[in-house]
Amino acid sequence: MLQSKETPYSKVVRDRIVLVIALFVFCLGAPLFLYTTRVHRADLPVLELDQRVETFADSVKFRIPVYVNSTNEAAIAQIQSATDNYISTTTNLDLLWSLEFRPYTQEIDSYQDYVLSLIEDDESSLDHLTQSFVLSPFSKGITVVLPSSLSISNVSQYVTEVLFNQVFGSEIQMFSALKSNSLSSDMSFPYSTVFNVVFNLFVQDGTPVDWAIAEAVPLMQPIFQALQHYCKFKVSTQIQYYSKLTNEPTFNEEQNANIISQENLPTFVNFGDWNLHNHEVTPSINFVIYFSELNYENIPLLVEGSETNSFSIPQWGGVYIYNPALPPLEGSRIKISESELNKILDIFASQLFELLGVPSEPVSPLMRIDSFQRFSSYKNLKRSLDNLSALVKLSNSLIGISIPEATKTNVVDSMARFDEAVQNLSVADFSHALENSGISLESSDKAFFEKEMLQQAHFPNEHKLAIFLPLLGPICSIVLFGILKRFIAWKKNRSALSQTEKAKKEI
Amino acid sequence: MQLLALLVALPVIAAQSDYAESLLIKPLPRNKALASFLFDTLLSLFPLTYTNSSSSGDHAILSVAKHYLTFPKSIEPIVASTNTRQLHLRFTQGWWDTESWGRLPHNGSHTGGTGVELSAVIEAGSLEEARASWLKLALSLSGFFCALLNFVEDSLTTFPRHDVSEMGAEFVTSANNSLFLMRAALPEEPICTENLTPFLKLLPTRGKAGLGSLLDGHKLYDSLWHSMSIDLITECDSERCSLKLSQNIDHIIDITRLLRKHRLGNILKPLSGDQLRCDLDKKYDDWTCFPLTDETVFEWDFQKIFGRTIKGACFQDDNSSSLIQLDLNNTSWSATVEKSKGDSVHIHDAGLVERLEGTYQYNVNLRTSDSRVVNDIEKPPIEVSRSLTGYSQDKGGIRVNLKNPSKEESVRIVYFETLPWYMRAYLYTLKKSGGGHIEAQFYKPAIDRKRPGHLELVIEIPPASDFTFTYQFDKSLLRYAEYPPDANHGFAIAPAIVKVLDTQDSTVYQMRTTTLLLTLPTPDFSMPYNVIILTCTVMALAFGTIFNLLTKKVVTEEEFEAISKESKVAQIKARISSTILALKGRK
Repeated sequence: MLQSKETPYSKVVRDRIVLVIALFVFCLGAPLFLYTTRVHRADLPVLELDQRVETFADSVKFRIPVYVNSTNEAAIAQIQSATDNYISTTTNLDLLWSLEFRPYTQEIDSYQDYVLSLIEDDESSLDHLTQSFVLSPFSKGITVVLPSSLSISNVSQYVTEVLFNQVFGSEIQMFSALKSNSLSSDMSFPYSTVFNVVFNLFVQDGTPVDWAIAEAVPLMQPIFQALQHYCKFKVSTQIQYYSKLTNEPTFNEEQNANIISQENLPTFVNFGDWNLHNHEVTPSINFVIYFSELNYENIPLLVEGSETNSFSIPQWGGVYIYNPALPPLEGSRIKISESELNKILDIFASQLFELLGVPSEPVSPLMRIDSFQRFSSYKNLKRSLDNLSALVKLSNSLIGISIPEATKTNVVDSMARFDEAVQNLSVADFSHALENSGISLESSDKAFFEKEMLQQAHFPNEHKLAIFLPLLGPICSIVLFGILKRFIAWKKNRSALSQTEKAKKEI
Repeated sequence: MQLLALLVALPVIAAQSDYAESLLIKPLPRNKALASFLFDTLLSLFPLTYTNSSSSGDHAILSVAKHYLTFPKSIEPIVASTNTRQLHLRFTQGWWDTESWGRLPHNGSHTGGTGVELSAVIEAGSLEEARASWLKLALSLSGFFCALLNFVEDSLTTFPRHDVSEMGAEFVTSANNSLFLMRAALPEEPICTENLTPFLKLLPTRGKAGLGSLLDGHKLYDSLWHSMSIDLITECDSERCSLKLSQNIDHIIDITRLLRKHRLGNILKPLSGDQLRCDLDKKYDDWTCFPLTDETVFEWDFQKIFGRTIKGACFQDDNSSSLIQLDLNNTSWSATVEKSKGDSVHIHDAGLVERLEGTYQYNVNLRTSDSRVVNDIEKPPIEVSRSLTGYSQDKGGIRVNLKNPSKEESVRIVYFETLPWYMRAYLYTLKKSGGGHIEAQFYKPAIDRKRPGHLELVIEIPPASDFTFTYQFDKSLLRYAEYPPDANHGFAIAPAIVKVLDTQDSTVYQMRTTTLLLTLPTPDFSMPYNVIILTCTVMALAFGTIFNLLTKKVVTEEEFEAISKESKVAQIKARISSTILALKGRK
């Protein structure tokens, strides 16, 4: 075989050149390429978030103070242990929700805090043990009347029953459902600081109908006042004519009435045709009074299975179907009077409570709003953490997605509000907890639905590669093959060397 | 967002919402007709509020209810949240033939230039606030009317000088605020049915009854010229304010074409020989036919022209009214009104004004014995033509010719023009010729990407003379991403507005010129990708060659032959040839 005239030194140089180029490409080229084509990913506070998710059960606690007005000092401790026992045995709300009984003092206002008054009834004889309770219809006062002879354990048992069946029953139910994620139907609107309340009169034909809404609306004002810590309301009214129904109601000869069947209720409101859009920033709660043209023929329009002739639509509003008490006179203009409207607005008021998520029990609106505040803050806190966790999950699973600084700011803001709400809860300041939790939820929504992030969500890495393939393809393949060749040659060389060495040894 | 609402008018209980609608039909020469719809809605007693987005007081949320009655509730929040006191929106398309149709309807006050035009009077504490409100207004309206109003930005917005005097009294909620008039035009915007639907939704009848029930997108936009306008005006006296919404649609109907479409359908088919209208005075046989102009004796009705009939009066009510006015020449035209309900049909001769009643179906039938005879066409007080001059890619010019057709009176006009920033006009090149002179001149030069050029001239033209002025401009180069799709088509330049003034300086007639199509130097848009790919390829090529040169062993020819003999390919070759030889040998 012909021997190459190449010096061994030049072979070493060639090897070195390959090595240097390969090092250059992989150590400088590749990072540079990745750096110049990367998308901006803000550094999300994942650790802090994880910590909040982990400690959620420990940090979010509802301790509701109840002031006990009783002559018996021992009763407080007894009632406390009885209620704690009840919560841990019959509900899944252990640690999350509890009552805290404190002795009553003169400064405590029953319009601010729960006041439990235990009154010993000496006059009732031992024969009929009458235990009774009175819930204040206005304030947060609970009065329990007990015969003085009753033992302390029986007292505490009875008080527990009253509290958990009458006062906090629906609240506990809602909490348990939410905690176990089995909230069946969600009627209520997501939290907002301002709601538009729109009263609509929809008339089927073009015959004018008057309504005394301007006089009737002020009667709703006390309800708005009661809810003012939760949110503000902007009220407006309108009349729309020529509003046809999507589905013709069926005529029932027995009742001489048109009936809207239950299955047609979801499609009752003709969203496409009726002018229901309004371009407000804040969510709108719609209340519709529907006036059928058959009212002129004295044929009422009835909702199947509804006593009040009304129904509500989840997260949208309520509908009432108006049928005049007396058939309208020929040629005279129909007017829905103030007294009629008052009754209708009463129905709407209860629908409003339902749509906002305020429980229907107990009677006292203060108690209802109170438990609604607690429930809503819990819901908001839970949701905002869920949102943020989902965001982190998304950013981890989509590597090509960009995470703008605005998202990070919102996440940080949301967590700060979360902390504030938790802080509020720890001192039983429920109305501020609700406010902070609502803002926390809003910020987490903003973080998740950041416009810039969504736009980039589907920008694939393949595009980047496709554009730079003419550069990356040849260079990588050339360098790779160069290295491979060297490697094979080196291996061959080594085995050849070892063989010659073996041969040498044999010799 | 936190709102601070200042309550100005305290007695807020709204009273009456009034509604009136009317339709004017006027035949025009050459078998055309003008249909002019007018819908007026009034909301009296409405509180004037000021929304301040930057203020932090959240206690004063308006606790008083707003009662809209039949007034469209949907648009008011947009206007209220941007403190808009007046809103004018115009959608126009087509070419107005001044020679045969004369003056614009309503003296041009409801007519915009080709495309979409938006102008608004906004109350604000400062210019920045006004700008922010204006952009917000444009964005909201863009969603509302399905139009590309979201393209309205600072680089398109002008503050017209002359119209400020017509803004009306100062309806401001506080002495610290003032009113700002802003205007923008989008001449490229096409107008179509999706703009009509929100227009109809603003009507209290929502197009379900009354004259609104005649409006059908297919027929309306199948016209030679159409214009749709929405004007929302706040009017205040010393005690209270009211909102006035007037909506207007004008369009020119080509009767011959619509009747033909009604007869033959949408597909154009050649007429058979016996249906041709031939001039019998000239040579006429089986093979020769000198065509006559369009028919002059025919009849048409609403069903054929609008594709629908009117579904009764707007409301069964005394407060509102639906009127049809017919502007006919009695010597050659006659009209009947067909009123039907179920099977019963009642026909009577139409008067000058027909009032619609009840829930009857109305159809109006018009007959003519000679369609060439129509009522007099009023001449407009000014005729304007504007055109581009020059041919190069880097500069051009504009020539405007204004003509006073009147033989007796001189005319005073305001010429208003907005030039996009990429047209750099040079005012020193302004050259005038012909009769007339420029009384006053206002020019605000453009700032790149921030402000358009804004030119206003007050010109007086003596009777029966015309005035021409020209000026030159440079074309700028745009950035890569600033070109619209189909950039080679050119850029539409918004129409100039010409307003005729009377002696008190108020506008008596206004019109728009046509749009101009400006071609800018356009790059090849695939260029960046080509550059990236080409550079990459060249770099890879160079790198590959040098890499191989550096790393491959250089051998002499003898060495190469020796190596190639030992290579696997050579060995296989040798094996194949030996087997072939062996096979041959066996034979």
